[in-house]
This record gives sequence, structure tokens and C-alpha cells, in this order.
Amino acid sequence: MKKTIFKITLLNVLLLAGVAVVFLVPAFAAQKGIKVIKVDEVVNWTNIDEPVWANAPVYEASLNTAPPFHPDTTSAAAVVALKVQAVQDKKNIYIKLNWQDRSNNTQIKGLNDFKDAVAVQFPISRSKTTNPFMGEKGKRVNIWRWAAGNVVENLFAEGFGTLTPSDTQYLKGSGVYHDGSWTVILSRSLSAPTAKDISVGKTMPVSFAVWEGGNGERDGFKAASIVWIDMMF
Amino acid sequence: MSKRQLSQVIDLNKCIGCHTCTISCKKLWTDRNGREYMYWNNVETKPGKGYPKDWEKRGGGFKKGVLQAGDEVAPLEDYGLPWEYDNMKASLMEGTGEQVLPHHEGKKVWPTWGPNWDEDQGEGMFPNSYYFYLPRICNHCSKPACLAACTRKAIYKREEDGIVLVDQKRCRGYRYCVRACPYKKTYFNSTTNTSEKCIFCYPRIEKGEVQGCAKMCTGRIRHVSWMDDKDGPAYKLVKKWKVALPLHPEFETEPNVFYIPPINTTPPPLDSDGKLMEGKDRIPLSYLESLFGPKVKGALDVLSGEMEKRKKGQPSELTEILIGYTNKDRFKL
Repeated sequence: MKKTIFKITLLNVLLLAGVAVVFLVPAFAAQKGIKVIKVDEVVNWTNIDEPVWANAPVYEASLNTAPPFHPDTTSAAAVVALKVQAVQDKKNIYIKLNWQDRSNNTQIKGLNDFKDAVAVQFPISRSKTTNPFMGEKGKRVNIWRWAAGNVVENLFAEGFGTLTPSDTQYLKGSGVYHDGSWTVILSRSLSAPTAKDISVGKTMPVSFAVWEGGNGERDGFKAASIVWIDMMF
Repeated sequence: MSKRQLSQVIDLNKCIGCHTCTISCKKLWTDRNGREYMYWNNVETKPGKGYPKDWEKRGGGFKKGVLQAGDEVAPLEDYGLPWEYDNMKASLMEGTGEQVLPHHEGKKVWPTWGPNWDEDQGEGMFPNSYYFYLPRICNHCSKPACLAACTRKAIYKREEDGIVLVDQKRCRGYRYCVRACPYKKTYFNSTTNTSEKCIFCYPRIEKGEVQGCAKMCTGRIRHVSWMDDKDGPAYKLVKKWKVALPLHPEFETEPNVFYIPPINTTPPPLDSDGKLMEGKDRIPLSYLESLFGPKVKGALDVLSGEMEKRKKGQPSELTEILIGYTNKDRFKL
């Protein structure tokens, strides 16, 4: 009896592995990075349905609960995947982010409310040797963060607890919640607006984080892409 | 530890529960901009559930030196909705005839809690019932759990006076501090998305003036001075006479606000014939120990001893300090 179960189980595993080899592996193999497509016409960053997005390849980033560093963080982050697309016109880059979120948390009214949010992170060094968790001392990261209610922030960090809004804010962003998912577009000029910022236009590492406000996510309690991903121009 | 520590001593034997301290604080700091529900200073009745409701059961502080995260932030209803009589003018001045009722955010509400909601309830059966008032502010702890819990390094303790403050520019509203403060004296402001708390009236202190709560107190129950000033009332009451104790020392945050515990034997309880049982406790000592720790008995003995001396016409420095005739006697900055 036990042997039979074992055999069946083994068979199932083999079958699943086979399925994975046939379907999943090629899908991942194709995902070398986020391919930024170039367009001539100016993209409207407030419209998530611009036709240009139909031509931009979708990169599916898998997200994991970021390592906890606060005793309050005891549960798992809710979001597990983030779809990323990127487009550039002559002056700006546009990053479109889409993820499933069961609750739409756009306001902080109650004392335990937190907003849904998403962030894109770049190492200023343009090198994957920078710690992908908020950077580290001497290795700064630039973070573009959108929070529900269309609050967009340009931030810098060099390690846990050092996140600081930039003196100058020039990011644009808008988000729409529809049918259980958020779609957000973040946009900035390709050239660095200040000496502190990073210019965009050559292949560079990027990583992502999503906060599900309805799950009490804030700070380091978030779903994050654990490793740097190439954004390819 | 800061270089200097400003301290406050609150004499619970003199508090009449008038809430003038609360109103002084509210008018100074918390009647606007998302702080309407907050009472940085509140006066609650003990025994009682306090403000916010059941704050003593919500966790936080330290256990054997280990920070306790604390429960989820209490809902607004457990602090008390900051309601107003929205329809008062229409009803009374414009003659709509509508009943004047509490409103919150434009809607009629039925409040279920507030600061000192269980006023004067206390414990025990008449004629042996008992209660006393407990004014509470941030304790500006030497080991602040709020500061330890903040991942943003947004909370700091000032070197020059030991006042604990939340840097409003660094705070991002994560609320770890609200949960970790075992006294629940850090509050979340949903309008600014930051946490805020009693600032020990530092702008007044910097001008040589004591806190609003201390200055306005009609019962003259509050003493303010530097802990390193041996001539100041705080040093004398806490260190010299050892009659002023921190609230809930078991939370391990080392408060810098101290309390003279209420004398628990006056008036004595009555027996079944209505005769006074001299020397018996009206307020159980164990209850006071649950609030102020094991040193209560010693403090009460010293207090009664000095009061006896005074009754006999003998001088007593301690009772003299506690009477606190003038502002100069009670405040020394």
C-alpha cells in the first residue's frame, strides 16, 4: 500500500517536473530582463491604456517577503508577483507596474490603516554589488515610490532606516485600481534631474517592492524582488 | 541616557480630577490638524480601564531587556471619537428643533469611550468603595520603547533635557512606536501620516517656563525640576525622600515622570456597624503595588510618618515640599 502511494507520488512529481520543463522553463528563459521599448510619440503617463503598452514585453517579477528586521513583522507579504513593462520616448522613461491586490487601500483613516504602494529601486553605482535591500553605507540606492492616492516620492537610502526623501521631487506617477489589481505608471526624465540622481538609458539593475496596505504592510514588511533585474535599453 | 534629565513629580493625594491640565495641553497642542482625538495629557480614574481603553493590557515596553512589539494600535473608538455638536448652532440659534447630538466627520455618532470615560467608578462597595485620579503624560523615559522600536531613527532623546521627541520629517507613520510604548502615549496622526506625542512643552522649557499641564494645575500637584539639581523638588522627592515612584516600573522603560502614591488608609474603611477601622487599607496595597511597584509600602510609610510629625507641630521638609506653596517652590528650572 505504502509503496503504491510512493509510486504515485513519484509519478506526480515527475509529471509536474515535466510540465515545468515544457512550459515554465522556456517562459523564464525568455525573461532575461526588462526590455525597454523606444517610441517617438510622447507617452501619456496618466493613461494606463495607451496603445504603446501593447507592444512592450511583460516581465513577470516574482516577489518574496523581504527578510524581517522588526519584531512586528511576523507574517508573510501578500503580493507574490509583479508585471513590469517599460517604455521610453525621446525625453522620459515610463515604467508600468501591475499586480493583484485583493483590497484597495487608498486612504489612511483608521489608526491601523496602511496604503497600498509600489517602488522601483536603482543602485546609484549601476552595479549589482549594491545590497538590494535598501543599499548600504557608501552604496546608495535611488527609490521611486508610488503610494495609493497618487503620492509619488523620489527617495534615497544607504541601508536600513536611512530612507530619506530627496530635496527635489520631479517624479510623476498615477495608478488605477480595477478588478482586483493595481496598475501604476511611474515616469521620470531619462537624464538625471540633479547630480544626486541616476540617469536612465543604458542597461542598469533594478528591483521592486510592493506593499499591501490591507495586510498591514509598511516599511520593510513588503513583497520584494530579492535580486537585481536587468533593465535593458 | 541624556546629559541632563528634566523630571516631573505628580502628587496623587492632591489631584482633584478637574482636568485643567488636560485642557491646557489640548488648547496648546492637540485641538487641530488630525490631533483632535489625542490627549497628550489625560486624567483617568483608577482603578479603571483608562485611556486608551485597557492601555495597560496592550503590551509594549521591555521584558528582561527585550523590546516588546505591543498589540495592534487601539482603534479610534477606544481612544474616543473626537466628536463635536455639529448641529448645535442650527438647533439652538436657527430653531431647527433638532436634538443636539455628538457628530464626528459630519455624521451623528454614539461615543462608546473617551478620556476618563469610567470617571469616578473605581472599585469596591459603598461605603468602602475607592478611586483616585491618575494624570498621565509621556514619561520621557530613560529607556524609551518608542525610540527602540522606530526603524527610521525618527525618535530621539535630547541630550540637554532628556525630552523624547518624534522628528516629524523622518517619521513615515509606521506606528511601531505607538505599539511599543507600554503607556500608549505615542499617537498616530492619520492626517499627517506621522506619529506624535507629548513634547514636554519643550518650547516653553527653552524659555524657562514649565509645562502647560504643570503651570495650570489648580491643585498644585505637579513639581518640575532637573534630576541632577539636589535642591529641586524632583530630586528631593524621588532620590532623597524616595516617596515618588514611576508608573509600572515593570515595563522597564525607566520613566522620568514620578508619582506620589495615594495614601491608602485615609479615610479608613467602615465595619458593618459603620465604625471606622483605623489602620486598615481602603485602597488595597496590592493594587497600588500593581501600579507603582514594590516600593509603594516604603513610600507610604515615609509619607505617613512625616505627616504625623507635622500634626505634632514638628518641622517636616517633605510635607513642606508637597504643600508647594508657590510656583517657585514647585518649579525649579
